[in-house]
Amino acid sequence: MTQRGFFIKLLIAAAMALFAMPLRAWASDKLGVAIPYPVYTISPLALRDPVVRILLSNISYGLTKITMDGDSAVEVVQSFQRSPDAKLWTFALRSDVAFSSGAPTTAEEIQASFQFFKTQAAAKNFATVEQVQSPLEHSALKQTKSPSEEESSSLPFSFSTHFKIPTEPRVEIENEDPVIPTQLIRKLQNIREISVDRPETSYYFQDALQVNLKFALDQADPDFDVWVAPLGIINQKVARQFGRHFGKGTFFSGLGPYQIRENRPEQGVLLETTNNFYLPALPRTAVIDFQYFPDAQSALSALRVGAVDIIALPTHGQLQALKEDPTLVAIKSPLVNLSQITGPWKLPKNFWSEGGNDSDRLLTSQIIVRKSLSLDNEALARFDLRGTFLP
Amino acid sequence: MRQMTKLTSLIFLLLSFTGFAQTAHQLYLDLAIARAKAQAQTLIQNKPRLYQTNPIQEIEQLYASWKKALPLGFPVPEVSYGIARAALLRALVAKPDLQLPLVCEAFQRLVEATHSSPHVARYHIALADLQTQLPHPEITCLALENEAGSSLQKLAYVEPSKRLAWALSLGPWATTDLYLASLVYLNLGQKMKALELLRINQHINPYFTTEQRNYAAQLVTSKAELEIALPRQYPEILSWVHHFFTLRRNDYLRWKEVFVTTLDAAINEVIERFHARKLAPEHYSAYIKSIATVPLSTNSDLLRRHLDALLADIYEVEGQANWARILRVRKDLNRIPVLKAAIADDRLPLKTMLFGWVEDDEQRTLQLDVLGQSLGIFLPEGMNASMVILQNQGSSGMFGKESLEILVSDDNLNFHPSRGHIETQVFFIDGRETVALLFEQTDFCFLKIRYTDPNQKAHFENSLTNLIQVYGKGRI
Repeated sequence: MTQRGFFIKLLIAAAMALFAMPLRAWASDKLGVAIPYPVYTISPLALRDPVVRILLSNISYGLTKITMDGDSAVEVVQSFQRSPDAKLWTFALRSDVAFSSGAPTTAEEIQASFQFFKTQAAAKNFATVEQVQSPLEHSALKQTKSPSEEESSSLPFSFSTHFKIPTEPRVEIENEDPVIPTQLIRKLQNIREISVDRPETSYYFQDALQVNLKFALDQADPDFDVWVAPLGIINQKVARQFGRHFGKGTFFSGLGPYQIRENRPEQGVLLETTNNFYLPALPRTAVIDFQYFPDAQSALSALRVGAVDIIALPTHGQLQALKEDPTLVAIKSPLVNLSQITGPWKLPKNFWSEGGNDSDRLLTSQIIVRKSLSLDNEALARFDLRGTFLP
Repeated sequence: MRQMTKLTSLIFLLLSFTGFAQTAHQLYLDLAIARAKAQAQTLIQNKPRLYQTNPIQEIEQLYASWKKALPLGFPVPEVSYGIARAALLRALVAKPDLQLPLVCEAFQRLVEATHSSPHVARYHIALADLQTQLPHPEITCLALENEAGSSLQKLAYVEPSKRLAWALSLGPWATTDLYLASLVYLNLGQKMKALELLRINQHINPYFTTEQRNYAAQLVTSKAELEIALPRQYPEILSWVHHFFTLRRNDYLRWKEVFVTTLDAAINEVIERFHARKLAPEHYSAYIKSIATVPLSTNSDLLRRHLDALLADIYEVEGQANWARILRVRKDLNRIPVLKAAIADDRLPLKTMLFGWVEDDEQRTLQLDVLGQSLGIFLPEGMNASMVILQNQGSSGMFGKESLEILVSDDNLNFHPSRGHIETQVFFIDGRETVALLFEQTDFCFLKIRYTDPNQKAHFENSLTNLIQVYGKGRI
């Protein structure tokens, strides 16, 4: 065979392969994510629990979203603008968004969602204990009273916070449920008024006109668009009926590409696509299975055999084991980007297994993924898996 | 004596001639008025043509016809009114230099009519209408050196609103007069009064059109206005409920309380009509059943309880005693605002969690009799369900008690058949199949209903809010 003939055949083979491939890679049926601890309650304000935060990134979108650069971009809204003094923020809402139930997400629903967050933030003021970094900062410790049993029972989320004040200057928080970021409480309390701006016109054409949501702040906040991003919009009417069970099991109704199909804490959380997502051709994967593994080794084995495709909170030991497997790779975790807004993560446990050592310590700086997994910017920025798929 | 006889004969002849002239004049007047009215009716019926072909000739003929009805120049109120309307119509199509004189003539004629017949509401309403559009004709028409200009100077000015108030006090009203009066009130900025008149018009006018109703509904911008405008009678109120439900859902939800209380008043009005023997029994039952099918009725405990009591009596008379019994039980229960879910392909019903929750008043439709599908409900905390009603929208076939499988759960993790007894009753009510599930005890938070008959005969479908209705007691 001459060299020319070889290249011609190679070109023909390449062309055949190219046309044989689908013009667009089809969505995969299922994506698996390994998680190191069970999720009992998915609270929309528990933004410092990494697994809950990952789930919320997929089932409950906020008005804006965080990009890989740490800036904000539109998500549920078409646009937003602020007043020169940064005390009035106006968000122009999309008209085609709906909750996972199919109920339209109106401006009033979003308004009610934020009112709910404000109320919860006011009630959660007990959760302001911050981790002390050094003995010199011991005096900076802020602590308010923990809620009484009666207060706790009236709250929609079953939070329990256990404070341990050791003799050492370092204060550790053991949470059965994650707490709200202190900064978020302050930001929510800074909102003086939330109003819906609906143009005055014939009522028969109102649906076609732009509706705005306005936030009036007590104090100027030039970063309002950034920190409002993690606050996922929830269906208030449904949440009220769920009562204090909201967030448990499948009792969640948010605005996102996925909804909770199953939540068996000792097994994991299964997400399924909604039929009402406002972006065409998304999400790319029909089901995301967040599987709970009691130990790191079983999680790694599952990743190797293809039962899962991502380890969300890997350990040192798992990262070391990557060297033996050319199909897996460790990349920067989206949790790093997310923590810029809400602060350091509050893990329910520091090690994957009970009684683990340093090699078993959970890391939030990296994730392990299958090399063939297609991750888009949304996934890399904030663990939003709507565009992620396995070709 | 002969002179006396001549005088008597002369007087007799004079009187006879006067009577004859009067009769002839009245006859001529009646004919002229009838002819002018007939011409006006023709123009009204050809209304679309009026603006398309601009039949100036027909309008001028109409105007001339009315003018001819005054052969001797003596003002006749009806003729003056006719001339005024024709003059305004002519002003629409006349050359600019003729328009003002025509309008001023219309003013003059309406003033004549109101002075001659101050107890005819129509004339006052028409004059008030013209006054709102030309507030000071005595100034505007003063420049005209004609009969209209000089007579309008003598016009004692009465405010349009006062004139309208006088007109409305004259009652009873023609529906067209009422409608015109409402429009005049709108021009005056008195919307509440206008809405009230439109409401009254709907009550008395069987020919109130859909366009007019939509126009009236469009005027409503607040809850207070709705309270004034909303008809309190059947069937008008149902048209409004449907209008807001379909076209103005946000306002419907915001002002739902007004719709509920007004519909309740309408139900009472129907009952009163029935008891006063102004309504035949078959119409009465049809009206009540019609009201009961409206979404507002099924989602409001106030209305539903009222209707259940009435319907129980109706169905008892119609021979549906068992269904009447169910209604009497339901009358004392609250509709529980459950959350609903549907799993299209539930292959492991004992283990599959319910998800995708929607509210109790969800309007999207769902078919119950689909093999493999699970329809679920979540009972909010503190609620005890004692009755579940499954209602079909259509009338296609009927399925038996054994076609349904009922599973319950406390935690949405594991489902099992209910430990308590569930009584299942199937009814065929007014051509629609209805299934009633009566629970002895509420031993569940979650309920799954599955259709299991492989020999599917029925097509059981309805909006989710009507497909499955849960009743019971507890803290709402």
